[in-house]
Amino acid sequence: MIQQTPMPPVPPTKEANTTLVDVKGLKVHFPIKGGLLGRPVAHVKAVDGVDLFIRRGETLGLVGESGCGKSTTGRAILQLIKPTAGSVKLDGVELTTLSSGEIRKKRKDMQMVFQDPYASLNPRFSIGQIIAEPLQNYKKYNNKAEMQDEIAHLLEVVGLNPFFMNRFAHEFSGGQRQRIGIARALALHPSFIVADEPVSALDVSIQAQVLNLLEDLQGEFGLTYLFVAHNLSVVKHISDRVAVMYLGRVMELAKSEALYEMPLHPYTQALLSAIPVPDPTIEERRKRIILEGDVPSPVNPPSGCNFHPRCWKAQEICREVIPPLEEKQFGHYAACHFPG
Amino acid sequence: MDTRKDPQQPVAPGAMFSPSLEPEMLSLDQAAGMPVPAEVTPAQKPSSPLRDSLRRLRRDVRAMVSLGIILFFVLVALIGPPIYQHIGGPYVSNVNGLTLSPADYHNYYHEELDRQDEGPSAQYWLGTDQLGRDILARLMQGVLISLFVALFVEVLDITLGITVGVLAGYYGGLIDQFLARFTDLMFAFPGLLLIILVSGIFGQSADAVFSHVPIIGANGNARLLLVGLILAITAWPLMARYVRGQTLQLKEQQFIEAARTAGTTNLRIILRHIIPNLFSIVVVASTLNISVTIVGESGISLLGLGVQQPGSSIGLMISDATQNIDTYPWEVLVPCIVLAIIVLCFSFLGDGLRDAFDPRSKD
Amino acid sequence: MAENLLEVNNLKTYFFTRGGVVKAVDDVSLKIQPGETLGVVGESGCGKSVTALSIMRLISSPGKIVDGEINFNGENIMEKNQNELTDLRGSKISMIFQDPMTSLNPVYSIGFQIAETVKRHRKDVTNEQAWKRAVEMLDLVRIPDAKRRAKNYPHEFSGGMRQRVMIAIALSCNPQLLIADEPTTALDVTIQAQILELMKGLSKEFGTAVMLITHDLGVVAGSCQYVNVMYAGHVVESAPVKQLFETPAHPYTVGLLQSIPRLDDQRGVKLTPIAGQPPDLLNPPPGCPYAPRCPRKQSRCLQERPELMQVGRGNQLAACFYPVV
Repeated sequence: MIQQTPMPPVPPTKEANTTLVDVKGLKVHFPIKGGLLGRPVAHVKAVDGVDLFIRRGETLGLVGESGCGKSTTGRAILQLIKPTAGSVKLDGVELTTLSSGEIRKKRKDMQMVFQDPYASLNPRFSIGQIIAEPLQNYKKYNNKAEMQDEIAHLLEVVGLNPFFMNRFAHEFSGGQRQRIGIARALALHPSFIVADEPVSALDVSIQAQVLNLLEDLQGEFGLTYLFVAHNLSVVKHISDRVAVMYLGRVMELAKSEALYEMPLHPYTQALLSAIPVPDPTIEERRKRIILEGDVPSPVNPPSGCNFHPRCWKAQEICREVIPPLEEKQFGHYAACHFPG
Repeated sequence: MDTRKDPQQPVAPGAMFSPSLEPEMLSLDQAAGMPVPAEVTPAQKPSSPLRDSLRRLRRDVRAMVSLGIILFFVLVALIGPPIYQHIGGPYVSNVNGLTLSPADYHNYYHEELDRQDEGPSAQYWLGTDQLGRDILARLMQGVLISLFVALFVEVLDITLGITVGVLAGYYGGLIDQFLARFTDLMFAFPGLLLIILVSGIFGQSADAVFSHVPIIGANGNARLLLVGLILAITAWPLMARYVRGQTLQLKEQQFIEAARTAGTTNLRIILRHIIPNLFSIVVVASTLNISVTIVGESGISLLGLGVQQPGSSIGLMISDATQNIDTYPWEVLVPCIVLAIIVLCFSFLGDGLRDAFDPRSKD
Repeated sequence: MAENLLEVNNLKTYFFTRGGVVKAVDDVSLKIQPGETLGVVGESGCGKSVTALSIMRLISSPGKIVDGEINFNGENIMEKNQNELTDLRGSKISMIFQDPMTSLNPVYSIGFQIAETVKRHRKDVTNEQAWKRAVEMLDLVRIPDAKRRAKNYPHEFSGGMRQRVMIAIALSCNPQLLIADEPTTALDVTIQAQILELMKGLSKEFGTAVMLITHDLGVVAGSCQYVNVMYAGHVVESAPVKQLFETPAHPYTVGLLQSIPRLDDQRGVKLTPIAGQPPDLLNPPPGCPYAPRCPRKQSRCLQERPELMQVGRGNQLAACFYPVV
């Protein structure tokens, strides 16, 4: 069996217990228009009541399968999508009630790394211009050279040679373009970064490069991450705590090791058992929990607990009452009537 | 062997890049200590998408030839007349006995009534028309007028089209509704009819009002600008629709979302991200529209509602010559051929531009 | 030892583009036993899909199979004509792809499409019998309420179910070999588990050999008996699955295994990425294609290309002069 030598954990920062991001009751419902007058006939309940908190300097992983609402959650926290309901606090400041001008000011503190390394960079801009954009929006420089210096520094930080500042995005590979996106996100020295599937579109051998980069940057700049992805192995690796989403709600929230060793929610258990491990001996011995059926549509989510139609533990109460996300063990939350 | 415990290489992600492209030959120990090249970029010179597109355009022979011909016509129309008016010796007119210089008889409005309907000669390179006017001179003036009107119309078309199209696509709402309804109106209303009406009703008064203004007022050019204006008004909704469609598509791109995340204001997003990416569709649409305008203007002049005598226009030349089509077919053929060439060239150029800028044809 | 069902020897498939010759598959040899599941694993651009398409003789301009032998059941596919090939495809060798939506015709019902395949290869079958077989197949791939759903159209099925339908079509004529090109990459992980279980079960039940192409080493570990690792158009390692994971010989395999995060990793374990960039298939460097990124490279590696050679015990092969053993 192949195992890596564990490295000493990152020492906690002084304000390790301060909450930087606090999300309560977040809802994002997209109307489906229909009929003669174009009135909303139904809603896509992409995010349907999400509670999260992220401590300063930590990485919270947000994981789930397609349609669970994790990307929408990330965007709603950054106010790129307007939440339908709920509260989002960044460093104590409520974001949902801010005007668009005030949100623009807040952008300095919260940034995003996007999924698609090809679509997230304007093909007509040189990479220097791409990174310059956030700087130009907020900072005043005495002269052009100062800004160029800053851009060069950012490129170095993400492992690219500043010499190529005038090149265009299409001349770089996927992994390099993702680094450019990271440099852009860092430009304003934000305290909080949402990484939306930052490595999903990259080759496996490049993924590790970018993941390591993100980890190093976190240590160097004291960043707080919300890491959104569908690959639980990747998420578990980089996150301190992980939240599992299903059909718009958080099913379980716990420290990474605790989630893996002792998943409380049946969905988490099924998810973990489905993930293939690159070890044939383990794979041979595994007992898989195979879920029946498909994920229901977020337009018509099941009543009560979202997961009850596919859950082997489901009882009457699961059909009627939405289980709240509660602390079942120390630091370990689950939204289930019959956890464990 | 437990290879995970013994990593083959201590990697420093984010390490400085080594510009050397040649693989160096190292021993295992050396390899272990070497910093990892984070990336290697193969291109020699920065190649912006614009440069790539222009390179593709240069490879398109048909488009390049068409462009050459168009430029040739522009050149001839601009500097042709002054040059032509210096070529040739003095000529004694049989009509009034005056001695004329080439500046006179190589003029587009000068009539030599005893030299009507002649074929090409040393004096009149393309012959004369039914009023003894130099066909080549009239042709050059006609091409100048046509191109000028086309340019004028296109400038208005692009300005209005982009402005309304981008706003409709980006913001939607009322502006989008307005554009949709206006476009429907324009499509339903026959443009030619509008031009005939406007030119017929307001043409003469336009001439009268602007007759004092230089260049614009002379030779019924004010009427021409009026025609141009109407042509622009009928053309811009289509451009706006193309622009709107493209804007809608661009709006959803991740790099626009990234710009918003970086704190860029909507205005800046429109100016710096959206409009530059409209370049290809606007260039192609306007090139193709130029053909339409030129034919349109010719048609209007042919109906007598555009350029007036003694001014010259390709349409007017055709109209004048149609009376003698069975006796002097040459007089009709020359402007028709020129018109056909110009329109074809713009069409080919438009096609070539579309192929060059269309990302689908990227190798 | 059973005779090989499929034997590919020195396959070379090149693409002649305006920018140059892309050597997508450059001297690939592999073999599959009857009933065996072979995993072909590699990253994008390694040539795994092109290999599969070459086996099916589905390569079209500007691509061309320039060299090599493809022996199926003892017969050389390279020598068959178009008619023989279309007879072969669907009945003896079937293929399923990553995106089931583009392989299904949206205007015909699922039942119709399966029945069509059956009728194409079994001329003596009536429409009724073909439809019955279609419903049978849908049942086999565990589509609930198969009789009714056979009348449904592709858009009425979810991604996972469409992939099951693809499997039903592929297996409808009981082929000896099923080539599955990234069949679960586009699916959610819980659906992926369903599909892989299904494929394993059907393969066992019908003795179908499977060539499973994927970039996911976890999938390979759980579903395959034998594995080929590809890089830049070459097979760089070939081994039984346990040996590949326990004692990987080629530095690329080692690099891959070290760079992927595993669920059972301890907290704080650092990933070891593979240095450098994916290879340039237009101008491959001389020598071993992995050498530029290989921490074990020597001068010989940059000049000579290593062939697959025996390493360690048993039937493990690696194309490396300095394998990790």
